[in-house]
Amino acid sequence: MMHVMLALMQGQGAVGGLFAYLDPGTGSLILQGILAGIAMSAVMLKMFWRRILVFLRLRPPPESLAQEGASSEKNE
Amino acid sequence: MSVAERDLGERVDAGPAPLPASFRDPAGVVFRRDGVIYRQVNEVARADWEGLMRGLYPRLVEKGWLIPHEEVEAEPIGPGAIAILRPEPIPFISYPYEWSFSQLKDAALLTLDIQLAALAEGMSLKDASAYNVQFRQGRPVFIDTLSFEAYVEGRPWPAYRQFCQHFLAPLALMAKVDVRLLQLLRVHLDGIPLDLASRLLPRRTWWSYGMLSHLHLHARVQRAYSETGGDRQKRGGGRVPKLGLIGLLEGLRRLIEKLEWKPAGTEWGSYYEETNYSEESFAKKRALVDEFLAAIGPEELWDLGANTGVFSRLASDRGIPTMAFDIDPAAVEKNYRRLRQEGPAPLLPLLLDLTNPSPGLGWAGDERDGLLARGPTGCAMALALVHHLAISNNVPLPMIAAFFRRAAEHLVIEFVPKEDSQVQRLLSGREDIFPDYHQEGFEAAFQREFTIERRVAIEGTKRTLYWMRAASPRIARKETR
Repeated sequence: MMHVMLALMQGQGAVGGLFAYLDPGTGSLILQGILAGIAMSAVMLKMFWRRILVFLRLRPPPESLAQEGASSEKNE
Repeated sequence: MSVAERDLGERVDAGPAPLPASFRDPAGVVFRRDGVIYRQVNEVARADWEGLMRGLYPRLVEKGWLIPHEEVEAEPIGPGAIAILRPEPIPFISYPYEWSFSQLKDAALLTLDIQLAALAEGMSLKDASAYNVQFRQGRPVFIDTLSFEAYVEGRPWPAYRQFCQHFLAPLALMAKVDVRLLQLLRVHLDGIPLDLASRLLPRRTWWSYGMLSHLHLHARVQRAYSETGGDRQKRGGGRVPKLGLIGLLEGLRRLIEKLEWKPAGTEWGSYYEETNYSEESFAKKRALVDEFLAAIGPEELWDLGANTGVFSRLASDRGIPTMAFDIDPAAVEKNYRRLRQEGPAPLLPLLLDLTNPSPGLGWAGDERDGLLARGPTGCAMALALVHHLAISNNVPLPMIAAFFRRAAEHLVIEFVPKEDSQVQRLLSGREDIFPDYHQEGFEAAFQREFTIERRVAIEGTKRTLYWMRAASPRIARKETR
């Protein structure tokens, strides 16, 4: 069951040959694929959420943030 | 594996020889010739070596993260050499099972920071062994110049498992279970097996995403795939996009950053406050130790039973490379934290049980040196220590003297007599089976090995401070690592 679940979760397509002088451990390689996928999804989700907030005008768009920063610097 | 090492110019040199720990990676070899440590870079590692030197090396050296080296014209020790390097020597090679919690944590963070910096330059660490980190001027530094390889987009990090075993597992066990579990590293030289760490950690750690993924699930995935062999591995495992790998490394960094251990409630936590020294006597003892050190002027000093390093600093303040050993993890931790605050100094706090010092370990028992194989040193200091060895641990005085003779040329040592309240405390509740434990007995035992240069009673106490010099000719430093 664990095998099937992991196989389904991990990214597809292998990359080159991994010839390390150290045994990286098959399980450790596969886990990295999964964790990297989760990390990337988290970043994308965060960006998506930010866009929703901007769209709902709950948060200023990034450009105006930059402008505000620039103008406040000038004021100083 | 690698070891940049010291040269006090006193070894008996039996021709060039590879260091016993330098055999795993075909990219190169570390060897010693005429007391100097060199690293040979082999043809197979040419592309990776050139990649490192192009931009990453100066950046890492400038930050103080990587040991600097000089490329020299020297005879290679084996075939296939493309360069010979002379790395900056490290005064004393120490091992992770001799570090305090924060030392191991700082070494872990350094390794991750180097990996992140390497990825930014299109390179990657091919191993993440804790033995690749040493301490220089109180700060961790990465010493294996040949641990770098070109990064291939999409490839997983081959050192991920090693990092978790060498750093994450011991740190998590120390922080969440018991600080003494660091000693598991003495048995498991390639780091604590993740299934063992997972079993020992409390259930509540399953609720932390970092602990769950990098430790508990990691252990289970390893077991699930332990018998599938290398087929999948050779094909490269799963694809790991660079952005995802950076996310994983940053997550790992945050997890380690959050692990904490507070030194409290251990045996010497408040030792200085509890001693029977008045402020005045304490100051006198300090002045006396300082005077002895000035007269001896050793090239290196081992403070055995250093506690939090108050007296060790008298040596390191004089610029003497000083190793401050203590049996108590809390004392070593406090010493290291103070050192980190104070800034660079030639001081190295280390964990050591003198009644059972670090042995030779690894392949043929030669990969990691025992304590005495890393000596002898110029001067050993043993303040308020002898009564613990002689009375708490029943070691006869002549055996203590013989041990110190093997360890050092000069000795600054304090004798604490039975009348002293600290010894009274040790003797309370047990039979006094130490008829020879008195000043005359002490001097007689030590004079078998040493000549007494100075003997001064410490005012306001019942104690005496000695400066002794080895009686027999100097021992040659062991010619190996």
